[in-house]
Amino acid sequence: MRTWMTFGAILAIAAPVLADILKINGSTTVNLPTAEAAEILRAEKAMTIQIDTQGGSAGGISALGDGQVQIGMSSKHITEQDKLKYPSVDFVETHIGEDAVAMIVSKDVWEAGVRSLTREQLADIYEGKITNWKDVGGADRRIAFFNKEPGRGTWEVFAHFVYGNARKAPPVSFPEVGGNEEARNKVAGTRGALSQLSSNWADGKQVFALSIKNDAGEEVAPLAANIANRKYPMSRPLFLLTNGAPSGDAKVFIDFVLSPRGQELVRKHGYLSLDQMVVDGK
Amino acid sequence: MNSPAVPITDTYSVVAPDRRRWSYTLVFSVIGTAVTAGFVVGMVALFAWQTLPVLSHSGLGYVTSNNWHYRQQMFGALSMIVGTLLVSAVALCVAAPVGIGAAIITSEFLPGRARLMVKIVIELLAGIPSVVYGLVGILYLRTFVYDTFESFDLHSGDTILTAGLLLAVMILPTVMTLSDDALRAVPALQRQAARGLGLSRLSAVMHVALPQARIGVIAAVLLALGRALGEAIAVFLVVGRQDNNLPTQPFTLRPLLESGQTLASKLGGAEINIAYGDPLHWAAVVGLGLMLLVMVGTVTLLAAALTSPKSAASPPQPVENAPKHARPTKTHSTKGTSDALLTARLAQEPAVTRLPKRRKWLERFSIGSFAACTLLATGVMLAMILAIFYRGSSALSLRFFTEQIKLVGADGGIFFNIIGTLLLITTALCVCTPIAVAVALMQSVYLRERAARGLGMVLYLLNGTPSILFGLFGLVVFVKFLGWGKSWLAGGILLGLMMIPIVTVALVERMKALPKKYIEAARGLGLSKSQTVWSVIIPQSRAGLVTGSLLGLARAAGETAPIMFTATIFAGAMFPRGIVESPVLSLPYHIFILAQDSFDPRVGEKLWGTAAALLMIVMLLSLIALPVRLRIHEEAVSA
Amino acid sequence: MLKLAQDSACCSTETVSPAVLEARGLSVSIAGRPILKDVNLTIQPRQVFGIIGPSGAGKSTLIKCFNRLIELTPRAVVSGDITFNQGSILSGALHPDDLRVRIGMLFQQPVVFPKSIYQNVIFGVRRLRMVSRRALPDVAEAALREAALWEEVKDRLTDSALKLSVGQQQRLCLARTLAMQPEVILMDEPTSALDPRSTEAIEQLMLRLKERHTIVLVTHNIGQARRVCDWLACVCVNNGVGEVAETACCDQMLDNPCCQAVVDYLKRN
Ligand SMILES: Nc1ncnc2c1ncn2[C@@H]1O[C@H](COP(=O)(O)OP(=O)(O)OP(=O)(O)O)[C@@H](O)[C@H]1O
Ligand SMILES: [Mg+2]
Repeated sequence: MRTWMTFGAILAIAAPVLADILKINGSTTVNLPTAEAAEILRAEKAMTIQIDTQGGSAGGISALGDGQVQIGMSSKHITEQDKLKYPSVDFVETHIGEDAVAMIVSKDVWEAGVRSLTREQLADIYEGKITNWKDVGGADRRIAFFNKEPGRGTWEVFAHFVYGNARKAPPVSFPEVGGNEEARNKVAGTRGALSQLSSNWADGKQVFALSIKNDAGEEVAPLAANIANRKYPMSRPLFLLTNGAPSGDAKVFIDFVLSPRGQELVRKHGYLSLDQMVVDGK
Repeated sequence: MNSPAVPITDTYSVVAPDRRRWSYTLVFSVIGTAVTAGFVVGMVALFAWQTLPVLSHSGLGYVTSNNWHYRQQMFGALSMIVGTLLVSAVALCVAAPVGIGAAIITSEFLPGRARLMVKIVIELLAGIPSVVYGLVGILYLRTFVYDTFESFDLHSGDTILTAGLLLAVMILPTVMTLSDDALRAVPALQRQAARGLGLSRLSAVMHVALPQARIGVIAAVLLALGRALGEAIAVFLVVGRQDNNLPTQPFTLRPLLESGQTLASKLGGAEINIAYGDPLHWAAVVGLGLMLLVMVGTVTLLAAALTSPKSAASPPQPVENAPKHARPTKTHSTKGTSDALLTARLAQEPAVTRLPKRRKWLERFSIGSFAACTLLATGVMLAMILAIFYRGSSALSLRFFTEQIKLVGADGGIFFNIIGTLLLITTALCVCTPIAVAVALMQSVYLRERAARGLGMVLYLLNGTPSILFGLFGLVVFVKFLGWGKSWLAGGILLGLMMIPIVTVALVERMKALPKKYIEAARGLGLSKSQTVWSVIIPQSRAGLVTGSLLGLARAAGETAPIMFTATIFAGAMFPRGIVESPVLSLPYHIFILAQDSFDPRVGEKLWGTAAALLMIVMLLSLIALPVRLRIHEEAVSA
Repeated sequence: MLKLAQDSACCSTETVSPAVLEARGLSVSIAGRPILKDVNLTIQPRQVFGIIGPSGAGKSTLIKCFNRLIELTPRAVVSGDITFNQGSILSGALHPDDLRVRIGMLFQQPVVFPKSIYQNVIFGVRRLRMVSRRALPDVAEAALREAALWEEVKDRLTDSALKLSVGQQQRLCLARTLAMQPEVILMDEPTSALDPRSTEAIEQLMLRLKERHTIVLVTHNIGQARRVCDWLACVCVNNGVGEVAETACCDQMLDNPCCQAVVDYLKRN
């Protein structure tokens, strides 16, 4: 009996504490600047902020939809499906920066002379019609394609580019990679490897970012200038999501990320900050 | 109970003995057992119920077809089932012979000291968390497989074989240390008698010790298989996670060299988060867990059927049948001639009996290969530990242990991760110990053969329950249903439940090994059953409690899967201030996240540093228990 | 003193045949502690050779030296020599395992394997493949008859040996040893765990067996020694180390011992 009362008491004490905790979950890509912003706010404003990266962008969206967190991190737009799944939630996207998705390859592919792929070639590789690098100008070696895990913003951007709409992407089965480090690591350690990855992870030593050859035959590299003016086709916005317009701690947090100091963090982690997008884009 | 005590009228008066039919011990035991059984039944029921939608959607195709495309709402899990079987088969084929061979060496050939040292090393290794194995797998094993089998034109180093080998290394300590225990439990006199008949050391082991220990050895392999079947995290990191890749060339090495997916690795992936909220997809995912449970259940029943047909109860010593020609029929027919036969035999013995035939080369070869197994096992393990400390050493500093995470893991330390992990395992221990004692008593004291076997089965099932399913269960019950959100208590409870079978089995083993005469002596003094329990059985079997708790704690400390959905987050938690919405940081989850995502080279160093810290905690646990273990060892030697 | 005891041996009627077992200057220490010192014994074939002496004197240790089972004891060191049919058993010419086939052993407590009765009897011969598979049942029967157990178990050969009474188990162990047809059987207090009837049965057996085997018997029971032994040795503790105080034929030793230690020992029993 007494245990239950203690139990209840603990619950009662716990309840008011909750209000102070700002909880964030979602994309590992968005996580990098966000987590650092959280560290600063914890130190300077004594805020309690909990961050997790379960399930990538999709995880962020569903955690927000479920009411488990106040801010979701996402590297893709909210879809109609998401809204259908959580009808009572008013998803609000706050754009905090931009990232490019690159097709990255291992060193041997790069050295064999493969520098770019067209959208058609990507589709053929994805559908298993092209399985050897020699068909796209490389050496005679099988293409070891690692597909980005479902639910990751990276994959959505890729599918959107190749098929116009992620939902039109055909069902395929490749070995899958999850986090960015995992993808980089596997591509680096496998001959003939190809995968989709956030472009700032391509170090140019072990893994290399291919250009995309557009219909005009022009090779467009995932560089800041090309991303900003949208010439590079596979880029994605980075969002902080809230239920309704940000308020309370969530607002304090998002305001900080949008402030010059926050935007500096976005640049620091290799993404384009909002001002870069605007200035370069004009 | 503690109210009006028996009035003391005379210092020498003897109080009439308590002769109730029930006792608090029995009630305690019943409650503990009910909790355990209730959990297992509840979990199975919950999963079965939540799986229903996918069964009505896909029907039998759910298990027989090979197309898992959740975006198209196609759910056919065949390739995952096959993948699970293949990975476990590889793991068992490697770990069982090596582990048992090594156990034969440690228990039968090594002098006491050396044996103890090897055992301590091995037990340390049993505590290496699966996520650390995964880390090592990513770094070394994957490359090794990729390079070794280059001529097969592998897609990458992520293969079924890689996962199987990694699992083999993971379960090796379990197989080895439990087989060693089982062998040691065979009385030394039995070996002496065999040696007295002229059997060589090895034959005495193979024909006397091993057969008598076989139930323990099978149990060891089963415990290990349970872990192999359900391992999500380590497999997740090296199996390639390729859906629908059914082997096309059976009976060759090829299927092992393909990327694949297991049921558990699927459950460790991102689909859990995507699936939640979509009843059909969720059903499909939970159904995978149910399938895993069914697999483990099948293995368990099979093994139970194998181990002992008749004498299930007290000292399980099966009786070998005489060959058919040794029969009763002949008995009667020879009656008349038997004396003649005897005299005939006495007259011309040499005709019947030959000199003993020994196969020396076979013996040498066997011992040699067993020794190689021991070296291999301990060598691989030591190399792993060294590699972890070597790579992590540059991160290890006082700051690393006293600061909190900074820069998304690239800077600062792991103070709150350590606190979180310690909190989780302490809670787990508090939850587990009373339940495990209760269940062990129920099984070895109160229940009779058949019921005890039933309970044993439940324990096996619980042990085989993949840790990821504890996570799913916790997600449904604690996080959602009770509305706790992520909570350290949920994590602690789940880890505690997970430890129950390990601790209980160790306890029961000890209780069974207790000479009957102790119990009879106590009962002979007029002690009641429950008094016997507290005065004889539990004190005498505390060794099992220590070993079991250690193995269990080591496992709990390193588990990622049960806590990743229920108790732990990546950053921002400190000391919990309540139960609801009070997550903690933890070491294994930290490793799991950083192993997949790290943006900064410094993270790598911190990653290995964290692994080293986790190992240190586990080793510390073992060191604390070392005196107890040494004493047990001494007792065993002198007995 | 030792020499004196040997010289005073009176039973000169014994026809001197070559010894089966002979210990010369045998010393044993375990973990650095001397247990037995300078033991000299001669055991003649086809007789029951008894070893008596106070508890802890080293009788079991001594008897285990004869089939080198002592080597299974960790940190046991044996020096001196033992000959078996004139060949040294310590020289390495005869492998200890082969030696143990020819010198069987029976322990204080019966040690049966948790198998059927039948499997227990044929355990050694089968494992060492000493008879053809087809002959196994016959060997088992003969051995069980020799151990006077056949009539009691012939209808339940496939039952677990653990179900037998302790006395039956001991005879089963004897049968298991007899199946190997050893020349010598070492028995370390084989009847101390048995009731009088089983004891008597075993004693009868010993008298029968000695027609074909040599038996070395450790016993605390002076009556038993008198009933079955032909020749006796008494192991006594001298300065904390076991020594053979006296060897003599049975009656001589029991009725008219020379050595004071033996006198003391017999008085206490
Ligand atoms: N394994 C061992 N380690 C250390 N000392 C031992 C060991 N075995 C025997 N001893 C010692 O050797 C001495 C002789 O032991 P042993 O068993 O031979 O005596 P025993 O004459 O057979 O006695 P009992 O009549 O009681 O059987 C004893 O003092 C005993 O303590
Ligand atoms: Mg003795």
